[in-house]
Formats: sequence, C-alpha cells, structure tokens
Amino acid sequence: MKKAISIFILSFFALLGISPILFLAAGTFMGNQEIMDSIGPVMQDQKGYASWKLFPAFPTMKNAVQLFLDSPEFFQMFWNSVKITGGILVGQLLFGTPAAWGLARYSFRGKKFIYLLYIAMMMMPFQVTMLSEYLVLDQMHLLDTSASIILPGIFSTFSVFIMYRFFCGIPESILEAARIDGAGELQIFFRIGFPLGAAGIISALVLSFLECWNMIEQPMTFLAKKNLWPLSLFLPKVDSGNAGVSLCASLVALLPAVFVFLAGQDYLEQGIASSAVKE
Amino acid sequence: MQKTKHATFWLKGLGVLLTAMFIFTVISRATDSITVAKVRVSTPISRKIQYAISAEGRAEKNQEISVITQPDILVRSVLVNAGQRVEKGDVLAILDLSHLKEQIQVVLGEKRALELQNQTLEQNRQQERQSKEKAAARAKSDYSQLQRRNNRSIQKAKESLLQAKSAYRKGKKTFQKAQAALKKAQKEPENVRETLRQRAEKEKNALASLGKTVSEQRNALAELRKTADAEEKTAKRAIEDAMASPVTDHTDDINDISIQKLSQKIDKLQALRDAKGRITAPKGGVVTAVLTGVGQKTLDTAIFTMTDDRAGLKFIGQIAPKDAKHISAGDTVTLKSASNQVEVPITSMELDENKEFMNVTALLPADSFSLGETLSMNLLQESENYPCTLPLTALYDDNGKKYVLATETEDTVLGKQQIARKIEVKVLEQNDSYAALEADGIKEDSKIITDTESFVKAGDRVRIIEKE
Repeated sequence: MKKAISIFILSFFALLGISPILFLAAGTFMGNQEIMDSIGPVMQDQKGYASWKLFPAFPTMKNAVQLFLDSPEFFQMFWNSVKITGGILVGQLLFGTPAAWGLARYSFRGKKFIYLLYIAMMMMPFQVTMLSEYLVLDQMHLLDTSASIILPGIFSTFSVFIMYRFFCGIPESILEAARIDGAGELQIFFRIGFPLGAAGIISALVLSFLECWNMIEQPMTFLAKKNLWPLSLFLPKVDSGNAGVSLCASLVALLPAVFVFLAGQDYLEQGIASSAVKE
Repeated sequence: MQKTKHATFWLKGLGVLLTAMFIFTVISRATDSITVAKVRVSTPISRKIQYAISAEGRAEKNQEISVITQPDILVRSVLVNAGQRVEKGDVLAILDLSHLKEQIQVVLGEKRALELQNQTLEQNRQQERQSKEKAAARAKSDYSQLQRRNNRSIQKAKESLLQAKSAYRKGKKTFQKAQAALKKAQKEPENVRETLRQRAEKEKNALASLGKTVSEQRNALAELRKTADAEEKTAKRAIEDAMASPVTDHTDDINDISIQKLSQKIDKLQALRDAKGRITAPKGGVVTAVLTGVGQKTLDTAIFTMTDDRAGLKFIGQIAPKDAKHISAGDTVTLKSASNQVEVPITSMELDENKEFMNVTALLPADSFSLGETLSMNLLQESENYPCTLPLTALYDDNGKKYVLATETEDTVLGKQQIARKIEVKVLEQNDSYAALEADGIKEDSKIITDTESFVKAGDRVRIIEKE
C-alpha cells in the first residue's frame, strides 16, 4: 500500500515534469486557430484564462509539413547547432581530456591554484565573462564566425571538472604497473586513462551537449550574421500565424537532446555523482 | 555491457534523426528554390516619356452653306440631287411662276391695306387734335368770364360791408350821446329823464341792429369768396383737361415696319419673278442635301445644303480623353491615306456630343485628299526628361497609393538573400509602357522588380533572373 502511494505520488510529479513536452506534442498537431483559442488570453490579450488539451480537436499535419518541407531556415539553424555543438564536443575531447588528466594525475607547482582557477571560472555566469570574451574575440577577428562560439566552448571548465573527478578515481597502482611495464605517459593516457575514464568523459560530453544545444546568449552576442545562428534562436517571435510551426519546431529541436541524454543517461548519473563527491 | 547496448540504441536513434533531418534539409531547399518568386529587375533609367497618339478619321467638308428662298411658293421642278457637283449660278430648282405672281399680289395687297390703315389713323388723329384745341379755348374763355363776374360780386359785397360798418359807427356815436344826456339829466324831473331813457334805449336797439347787419355782410363776403374759388378751380380743371396730351398710339409705326418688310419681300419676290422662278447655286460645290421636292411649297428654312469649294476639306478624328492631355491645338500631326501623306497643325480640339471622346480637327491643304477619304492621324509627343523612369509592370497599386518593389540584399538565416521591399512612389507621368516616378527611396542603382513569375509582396524572398 505504501509502495502504491509512493508510485502514485511519483507518477504525478513525473507527469507534471513531462507535461511541457506533452503540450508540445499536442500543439504540434493542432491548427493555429485551435492553438490561439487555447492560449489566446496569453498571446493576444483575450479575456479568460489559457487552457490546453492533450489531444487536438482537429488533428493536422500542416505544421509538420510546413516545417519539414517549407522551412529551409529551420534546417539551416539545425545544422548550425550541430556544427557548433559538434565542434565544441570534439574540442573538449581534444583539449579538455588531456587537461583533466594532467590536473588529476600529475603533481606540479601551482596545481592547486590552477584547480581553484578552474572552479572559479566554472562558477562565473556568462554575463560576467561576456565583455572580456567579446574583446578577445574581436581582437582575434573571430566575431561573426562559428569559431566565436566554438572556441570558448571548447575551453569550458565544467567538462574538465567532471573528467578530473573520474581520472582522480583511477588507482595509482595501475598507472605504476604500467610504467614498470614500460608504458610511456601518452600510452598510459590513451591505453589506461581514456578507457577507465570513459564514463566521465561521456558524461561530461553529454552535459556539454545539453548546454551547447540550448545556448542562446553566446550566439546572440557574438553572431550578427543570421546564417550562423543556431536552432535555439529559431522563431524568437511566436504569433498567431506561426504558433503551430513554432511548437513543432520546438519538439523537433528537443529530439537530439533527448536522444543524446538517453544514450548517455547511465554515464551521466555517474558523472553527476562523481562531481558531487567531496575531494 | 547492458549500459553499452542501451547507449548504442539511442545513438542509432540519433543517427536516424540526423539522417532524416538531412533528407528534409535537401527537400526543403528544393521546395524553396521552386516557391521563391523569380523576378526580373531593372534600375531606374533617365528618359523622356513618349506618347504615340493615333486616330482614324475622314476628310470632310470644311464648311457647308445653305440655299434659302422665299417660303410658301410651289416648286415646279428640282434639277439637282444630293452629291451632285454644281458651279456658281447653276439652276438648282424652278418655282411655279403663276403661284409666285399670286404671292406677289397677296403681299402687295397686305402692304396696301396697311398703308390705308395708316392714312385713316392720321386723319382721326388730326380731328381729335382740332377738337381738343377748341375745347381748351372755350374753357379758357369760361374761366375768364367767371373770374370777372366773381370779382364784381366780391367788390359789391365789400362795399356793402363798408357801408354797414360806417352806419354802425354812426349809431354808436348817437347811442353814446343819448347815454351822456341821460347822465347829465340826474337832477331833471322824472318825466324828462324817462324820455331821455327811452331815447337811449331806442338808440341801443338801433346799434344792435346795425351790428347784426355788419356781421351778415361779412359772412356774405366770405361765402361769396368761397363759391368763387370753387368755381374757378372747376374752370381751371376744364382747361387742363382740354389741353391734356392725346393717348399714345404706335399702330402706325408698327404698320410702317410691316410695310417695310413687305416691301423687301416684294422686292425679293419680284427679283425671283424676274429670274423666272429659278433658284441658283450661290457658290461652287457639292449638293449635300435636297430639302424640298416637286409640288411642295418652299420652306422658311434652307431648301438645299451644299459644300463650299473655297472652304476646302478638313480632317476630324477622335482620340481617347487620356490621350487628349498630351496633345493641343497647334501641334503638328501626320495625316496619311493610301495615296498621300501630309503634316498639318491641329486647328481645334473639342469634346464630342457624348463627352466621351475628343474630336481633333485639322484643315487639309488643297488637293491633298478627296472628300470622304479615310485618313490615319499619328503624333509622337515627348515629355521633359525624367531622371527616374521604370516600366509600368514595376508599378503596384494599394488603394490608390502607388508603390514599387525593390530588391535588397539582406543577411538572413539562409545567408545573403534578395528581399522585396516596398517603396511608395508618386507617378509624375506615364504612358502605356513607362512611368516617370518621384520617390526618395529609389536610388540610381536600386534594383526594382519589373517582372515576376509569381505573386510577390513586400518582405518576400525573391530570386533575380539573370539577363540572358
């Protein structure tokens, strides 16, 4: 009985949690008029209260057809997002992983300071670093290029912090044994560190993916050319004429994140748990 | 192992999603390339707006004259038909001579009757004048006699009044003496005083009688004067009546005018009789209408109409009102027939009867065209030079507001794209092909949409078709 009550309460909150996605899914198959009838009080200053239906009264594929067949802008922005996110993730794999390995496995002068600096940088919101980033990117003539988003993303401290935790968890004895067997430092990193820290690397990349996929401030600040904008800036203005398409676009934009999240779900749990462990 | 399988499954899903997105990217791009309007553009050109105005018309007679004769005379024969050419003096018709002579007699009779009426009126007027003069003289004479008689009567009455006044004054003195004697006789015996008293009383009565007489005489004089004034007034009125002007009567003047007209008519009828009833052409030309017939009486309007050779021919063509504002009297037009071509100035322009078209008239040179020949008129007018002209196809209308669509390169999500932008313009002048525009938003290098394969509105993406 106690278990049933727990399941009921948890189901209720789970439904509450995924209700926005359900609304998105329902709205995707609604006509614009039906959507406006539901959310008109919010969108168009109509009297009364907004309401929502889980099942459209008159299901239509019009929004999907319009989005998939008549919105090349959506796909341009989709692939921009893929490019930016992919670039950042590859960059983090190339630069973040060795950085985290170095911090975790080597002792050198100023290591503590560098680690503290990483923690401090991780704490800073984008608004704090925005101006300095802008000035640096401007000096490097990288403004209005995808690199202005990708480069700062590659050197994000958060993924290094996650991977650092995993690399710290590798027993020193294994590394010692490898050294005794004649393995070089690069071999140790690639043959031992990488496989044993894979869970951390994947969870860091999944978290980075979610952050990069939904990034808004950075593109708005550093990208004036619209053809470089990512999907997160698609349809900034929703009105009665494009509400259905907007909902459909939002649902489609959500899908890659859902797939990536589900693929890395198990590793992500480890990553979150790892980042929560006190040093 | 379980963990890896789980991840692989979702990563495959992600792969499928990305593949689907790639396919839809290709499809949407292909759709977009089909749906984006393909347009032709042009930059504003500096040019003059030309108006090619043309009209069809005929060579028509420039002036038509009418042949008129005296009305109500029988026509014995008509010698010409409509369309027949005649020379000056040619006989057009012959009137019935006997009927013409009768008409002359009738008119002469009318004239004689009026003359007699005038004579009678003159005699009556003289008699009336003499009667009036006689009556005035009598009235004046009566007035003089009356005046003298009244003066005499008044004079006599005045004299009687003076005599009465004199008698009254004497009686008054006698009465005063009798009273004085009565006062003095206070100490006299009673009988003496009584005698004196009676005497004074007698004098008093006599004085009263005299006073009454004076009053009567005065009244009689006043009455006499009043009567004399009334009689004289009546006599004066009689003189005025006798000397009054006679009533105005213009019958004889009116008759004189009628007689004059009749005389003219008689002269014309007699001239016609002398010409043996022949009606001749006043000028050389072509008979355009015969308005009488054998056995009919002549009309008080024209009996023939005909052209005048000396007036020549004219061209009349019709142009649409929209063309009329580009052409004016004095402009030189080219007139062309199958055999000839001339350049002549426009002499006049006026709206037709229905006020739908403008009639353009130009006088034709002698011997250039023949009457009734079909002619085509052509005129090429040019406006001033306008810095900004565009084909009419570039012009759109939104509730009376004219605008053009210019393409602008805009940085969009799909990269640099051509976007149609609305620019409101003022049409200064236009012909069937081009319009001269005034707009602040149009520059020399502005690309204005002049032709489109599908509907384009402001804000739409467009694709410029390169010139072949």
